[in-house]
Amino acid sequence: MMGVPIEHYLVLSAILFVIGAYGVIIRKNLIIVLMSLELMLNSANIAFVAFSRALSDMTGHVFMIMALTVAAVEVAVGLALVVAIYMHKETLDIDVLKMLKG
Amino acid sequence: MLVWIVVAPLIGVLVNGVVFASGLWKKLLNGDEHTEKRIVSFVGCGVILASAVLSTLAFLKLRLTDERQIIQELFVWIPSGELKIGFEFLFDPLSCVMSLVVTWVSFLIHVYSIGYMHEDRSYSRYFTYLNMFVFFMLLLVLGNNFPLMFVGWEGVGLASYLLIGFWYEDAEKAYAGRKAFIVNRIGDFGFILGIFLIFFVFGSLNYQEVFSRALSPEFMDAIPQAVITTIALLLFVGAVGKSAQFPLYVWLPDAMAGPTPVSALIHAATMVTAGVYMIARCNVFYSQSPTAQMIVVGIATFTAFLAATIAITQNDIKRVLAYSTVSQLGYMFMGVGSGAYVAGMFHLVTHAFFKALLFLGSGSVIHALGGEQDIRKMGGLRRFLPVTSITFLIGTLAISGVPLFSGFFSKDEILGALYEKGYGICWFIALVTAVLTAFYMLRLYILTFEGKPRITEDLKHHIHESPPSMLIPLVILAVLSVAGGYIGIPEFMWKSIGIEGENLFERFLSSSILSTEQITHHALPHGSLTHWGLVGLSVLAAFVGIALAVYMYAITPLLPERLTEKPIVSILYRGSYGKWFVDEIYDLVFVKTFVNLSKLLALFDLKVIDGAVNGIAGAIRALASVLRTAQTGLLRFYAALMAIGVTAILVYMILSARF
Amino acid sequence: MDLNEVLKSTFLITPELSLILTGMILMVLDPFIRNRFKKELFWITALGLLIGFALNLNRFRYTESAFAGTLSLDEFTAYFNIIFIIGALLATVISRDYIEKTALKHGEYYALILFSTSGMMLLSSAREFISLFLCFEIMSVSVYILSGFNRRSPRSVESGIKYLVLGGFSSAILLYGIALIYGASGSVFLDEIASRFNMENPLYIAGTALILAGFVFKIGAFPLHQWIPDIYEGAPMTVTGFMSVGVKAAAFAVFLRVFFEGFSTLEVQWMQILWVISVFTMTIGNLAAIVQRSIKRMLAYSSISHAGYALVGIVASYGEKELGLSSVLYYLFAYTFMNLGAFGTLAYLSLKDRECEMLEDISGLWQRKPLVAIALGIFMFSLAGIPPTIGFFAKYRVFLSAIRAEFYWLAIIGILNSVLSAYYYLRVLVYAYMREEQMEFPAPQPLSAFAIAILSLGALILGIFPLYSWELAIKAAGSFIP
Repeated sequence: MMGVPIEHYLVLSAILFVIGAYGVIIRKNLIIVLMSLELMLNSANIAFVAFSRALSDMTGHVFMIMALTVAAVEVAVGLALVVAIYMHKETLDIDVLKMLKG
Repeated sequence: MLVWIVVAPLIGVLVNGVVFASGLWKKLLNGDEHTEKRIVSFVGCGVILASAVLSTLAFLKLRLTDERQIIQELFVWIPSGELKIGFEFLFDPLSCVMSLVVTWVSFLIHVYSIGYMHEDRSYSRYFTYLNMFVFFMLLLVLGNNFPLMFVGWEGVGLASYLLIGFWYEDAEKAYAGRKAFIVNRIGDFGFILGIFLIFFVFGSLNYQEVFSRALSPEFMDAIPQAVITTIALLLFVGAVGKSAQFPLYVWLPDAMAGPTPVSALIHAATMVTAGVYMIARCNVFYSQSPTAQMIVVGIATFTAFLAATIAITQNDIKRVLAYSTVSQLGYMFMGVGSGAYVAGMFHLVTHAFFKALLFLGSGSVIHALGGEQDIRKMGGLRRFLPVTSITFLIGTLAISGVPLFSGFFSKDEILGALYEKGYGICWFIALVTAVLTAFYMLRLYILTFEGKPRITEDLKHHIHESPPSMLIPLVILAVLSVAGGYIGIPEFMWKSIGIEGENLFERFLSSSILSTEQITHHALPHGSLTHWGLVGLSVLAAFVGIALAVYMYAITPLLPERLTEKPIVSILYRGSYGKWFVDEIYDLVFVKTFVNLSKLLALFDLKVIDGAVNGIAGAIRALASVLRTAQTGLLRFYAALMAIGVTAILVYMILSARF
Repeated sequence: MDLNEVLKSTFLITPELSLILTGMILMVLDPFIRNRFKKELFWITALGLLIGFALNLNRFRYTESAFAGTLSLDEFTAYFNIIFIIGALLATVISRDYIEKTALKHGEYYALILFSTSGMMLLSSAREFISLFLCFEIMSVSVYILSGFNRRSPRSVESGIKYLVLGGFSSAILLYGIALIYGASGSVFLDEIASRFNMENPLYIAGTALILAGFVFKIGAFPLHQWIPDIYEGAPMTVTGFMSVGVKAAAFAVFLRVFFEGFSTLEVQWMQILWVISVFTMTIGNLAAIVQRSIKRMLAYSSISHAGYALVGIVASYGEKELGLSSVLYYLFAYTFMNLGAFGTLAYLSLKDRECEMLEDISGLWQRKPLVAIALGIFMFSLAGIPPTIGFFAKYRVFLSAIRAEFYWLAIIGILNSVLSAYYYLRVLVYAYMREEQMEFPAPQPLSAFAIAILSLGALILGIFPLYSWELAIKAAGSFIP
């Protein structure tokens, strides 16, 4: 464990962040878009924990826990809205949401 | 103290408007309507009474001060560079007279309204507007600089518009409101240009500063005469709009669509006289510009005569009074225009009393007849409405200029001034107008109150005298219509009865009239014989008019109809009855032209502008459409755009920080 | 940190606590109240907001830091809190009638408004990234729910989910930026970050850029503005009004706090970016607004351009610190009145199943509801920046500070833009005043009318007498400049 340098964690978190962002952009299923959002938030959490360990400072851990809570809240609201969307459209395809445009 | 005179009505607006007119009371507090009306009346009249009492106290205080003016500065309003405009009030004899008239007459009309509007659904809205009107009117009168006057000027216009269209469900009445609004805007345009020009020339908008500069010869030598004339005329354009002079008088008769107390307060006694006040206030400009004076007197004389000729044939009781208001305003402008500022203001005061009385009297009649306004369907109402008829008669005699009534003194002063200043033709026309005035007013009185009743039997049983809240204001105003004239008995009359008296009104007002050209009856060389001769002529005019009316309508009631069958009379009659077709001419000349012009412009816009300037407009539109298509509505697309945006910021930041 | 300090800190945030407590009381009471009385929950909300407002006024007298320096309670905070509470209060007043008309749920709605507002208030005082991020999310998540609040309407739900996904996207970017800054400096406190800031370390640069992007999203500025029109259009009218003034002002508050206190070392770089951003934001917002037929969507685009005008003030503060910053603060204050007023008027005119949003929907307003038409006129004049309204004065200050700071091109572009904008604002008035009536209008709603009257009088009177509120903005900016 001690042997893994901080850069590796950072690269991992950056990759996860980009994968998450990519997922939001290319996936069409609403649930998977929400999951991709989670991925983005959690990649930041990895960075926090890695920095926290490297700096021997607990603030990063605290931040990570708070950020997890926030992510959970967002997904909870998101799922509620997904249900509402499904009641209207009977599909989870994100591309049907284009009443508002122009 | 001054600020409270103005603020008191505002409190009424807030209380009545926020608590009652908004529906807060009815809908949220579940208050009942009866209590609502009582509180609204109490607050609405109470604040005006407070304002009136405070004005009176200020008047008493003013008599004790040596400088003859009280100035109260509240705070600096617009402090930018040279232009320092304070929120300040001025209480000098001129504004004192105005604020006394405005507050007390308003108070009486507020009390009257309690009875008149009692059945109306929008009772609290009515009182809110009425209080708002008084607030703005006092702001107009008491402000110590032109911008404040302009705020008040616009404010009373707004209140007037709201009250004319008070019964806005009725499309025609709503139209009358808009007509008043639009016509007044034309006048206001001139007024605001005048204010700009004053600032440009005098570098200030404060009354004291502007007028003291306008009075100093060194300052004025550098300014061409034409500039002063332009200022005076631009201000007069504003006055023509607000005070219903030719050619912008057309809105006033239509303004009678509002409730009758409103016609009495706003469209007879106070607001429409704002133009007269403004000219009296700016007397310095007018006295230095004979050209402007001549134009003012000319237009005023023409208006007075024209309106009187229309009034003699109208059959709507309020319309007759409306045209008579236009005509009387013409008299006031003759006064202030010929340099007899005191005489003009004096007529303003007496007119406020008797015209308010006449309108309220007509309101009492309309109220009693359940909304009937046509005098052909009235007649013989004296039996049913004794108090109304007597007070109405007093008002009629006052406006006709019968001696010992207030109108006699004030009208006579104006006529004397015209003669003395050498406006001979105008004097003659004004004299003829006086005959017409006495004629149409007596005609109105006789057709309404005398002769055989022409009302339906059904109505006869329901007809009843108005409640005390309406009659008491009538009686008080009747007393004032008689007594109001005695504050301004001219010097020569005192002398003739052997008393060393003087014109009290003139002496009181003299410190407000800053111009060097002094008031009437001093320069007249011929002594009091000429004075009395002029008085005699105007009394004769009044009695000729009265006698004609009595002969035509009381003694030989069938004569008028027979007369109208005669060819020449018939043409004149139809012209007068059709108001000389001024509205139609305006419609043809202005409205139609405007519509056609805008059609032409639209065509121009379509063919020329769109064609030639396609560069800019088209480019903007094309760009906008591109931006619009970027807004696809697709979530994923937005996320992608955002990702690009974030990357751009990131890259830019790194590049600019590194290099 | 001992108990005493905790108590003292708790006492210091009583304005925020009063909102949070009121929100909780509403959540608890809501299920126990019969449906027809639910609208009266509004009064509790108003009371809570008023108490918060009164307690907040106290803050003009002191500068304190609470909870071991995580919150700074100063005049800057107090000033922004006034904006938030005024916005929230008047939005709730208008909402009460609007909810009643559209048959939405009262209790939750008010609670969400209160939570969101408390988030904004704490956000304007946060000086440390953990509480900052939390408050940011408290504010945002409440507003996500509010925009999707009308579940019966597919448009509202669509707006909610779009806001959530895109907002989450930007939150993740912000969070990642914070993580980088934390990794580089080892601290989450703004003052410590500022003192350790090192231009050589790329983590700082990248972190600053990502945080900037996160805030730019919430402000609704180019290049992250695409969400605004869709979400503003779909959300219920009162919510749009609320978030267009509250969330935007809060985002500006936190932006100013973080960048001037934490990242001032990099000021030259982010100011350059802001220059570009503000030019594009103003122009794009205006251009797109021109072709809109829907007033609601037009106002959404116009809110983009207004964010651009406010950004001009920030850029100007590069040369004229005090004037520039106070003009931004004042702009947001002015914007609260005119924009909330405009949306509030549309909410007032909305019917049960038809929102008043197209231009045709207000034709004939002048004949039927002259006072509402006058209020709408004041708001449009103010938004277009025509004197004597508050909007004119605010724009005048912003452009003046840009000229004083010698950003001539920025000022010229801004003025050209605001001239351009007059076209689409006045077009609204053309429909309201000159067209014949086509649609029916709702019955009078006294409370909403009262709120609109306050907003329009505010926009007018503060425009005629701007000095007092302007001095407040100068004071707030002064307390913030180190």
